[in-house]
Amino acid sequence: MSENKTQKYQILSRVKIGSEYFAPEDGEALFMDLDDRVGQSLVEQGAAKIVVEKVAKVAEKDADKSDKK
Amino acid sequence: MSRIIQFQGQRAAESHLDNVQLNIDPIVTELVLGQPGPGEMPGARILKSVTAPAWNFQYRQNDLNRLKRFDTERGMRQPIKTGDFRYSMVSASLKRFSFGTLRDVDELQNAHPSLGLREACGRFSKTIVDMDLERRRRDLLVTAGNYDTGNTLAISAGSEWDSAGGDSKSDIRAMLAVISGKTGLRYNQISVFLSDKSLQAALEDPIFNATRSNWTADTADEQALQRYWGSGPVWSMNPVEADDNGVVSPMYGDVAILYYNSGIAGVDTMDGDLTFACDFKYNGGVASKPFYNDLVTSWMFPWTAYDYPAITTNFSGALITNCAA
Repeated sequence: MSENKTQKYQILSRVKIGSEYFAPEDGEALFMDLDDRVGQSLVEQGAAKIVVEKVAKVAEKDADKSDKK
Repeated sequence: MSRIIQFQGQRAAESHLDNVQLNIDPIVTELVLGQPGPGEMPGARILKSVTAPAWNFQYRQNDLNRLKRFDTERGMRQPIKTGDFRYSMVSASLKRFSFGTLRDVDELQNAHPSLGLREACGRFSKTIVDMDLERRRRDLLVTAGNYDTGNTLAISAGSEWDSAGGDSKSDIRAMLAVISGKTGLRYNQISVFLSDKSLQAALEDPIFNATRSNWTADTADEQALQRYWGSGPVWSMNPVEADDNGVVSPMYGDVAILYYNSGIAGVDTMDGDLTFACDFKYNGGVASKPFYNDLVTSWMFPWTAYDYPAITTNFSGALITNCAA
């Protein structure tokens, strides 16, 4: 059996993953690395969203450029 | 009895008999009236309607203030500070709706009474109104954002009730605990509505079935689930709707809705019923005279709605989504 791809998701409300329940605490963000099939099913229900880390990557590139100089 | 028959707003004949004598065929050319017959709607059973007393009205919304401690002794000695006891008030406005019947006035008036065309048109229009109201209630009930924080549960792929990792008892009781913790309601006071898809998934719950199969081969039912979950009454309905392409689908997908409803219309109890502040008046069949439009020769079937799209006591209900694989 091939290994499923995992991605980082932000959990927005109470969810059930496997036999466990997870919910973000008040004022805190909850992030989880989830199997895509599991994560996508939560996204479809509006209970999670994929975390896109574009800003961090741009910052890394800028840092590389400044190092070269 | 003589009846006036009109054509394009002009008086054509006084009676069916005259009509025949004038060589005008009084029978309509086509009579196709399908009725979906939706019967009782689940949304109407879950959400109490609220009778609107006036054009502009205010609807009270109970919040957690009802559970807090107030200084009642102070109230004995001086005028009660009504500010402490106020309800959150929201206002709604009157909207008017109307539907044509697919038949114009001439068809209705010329049709022979034995065809019951008027009544059939009336029922058809009422069905349209009923379905429209049910869609509004459905949209309120299946939108997670309409529930209090923590009163929703999204089941991920692989944990649906009819999958290998399914455990409906754990899920239902988790949400019963949430509602009970916020309202003081006991578990057996909280009802559970299941769409048909969710009901069938619950009946395939592997843990439930494994324990049951030791003593019976019968398929379980809603009552068995109620005893298994320790909840209030469990019930199911399966209203369907059709899109513009004629594709029929269940209105409630695969959700489970937990709710409390005292069943007393127009009364908000201390327990915090789920309510739906939409009230409408339907004139009960063929339109009355003010709604007959001479200019377009059409009968209107008007109804009015006090449209307030919100669940007012959102902590006494809970929503579970993706119950079925």
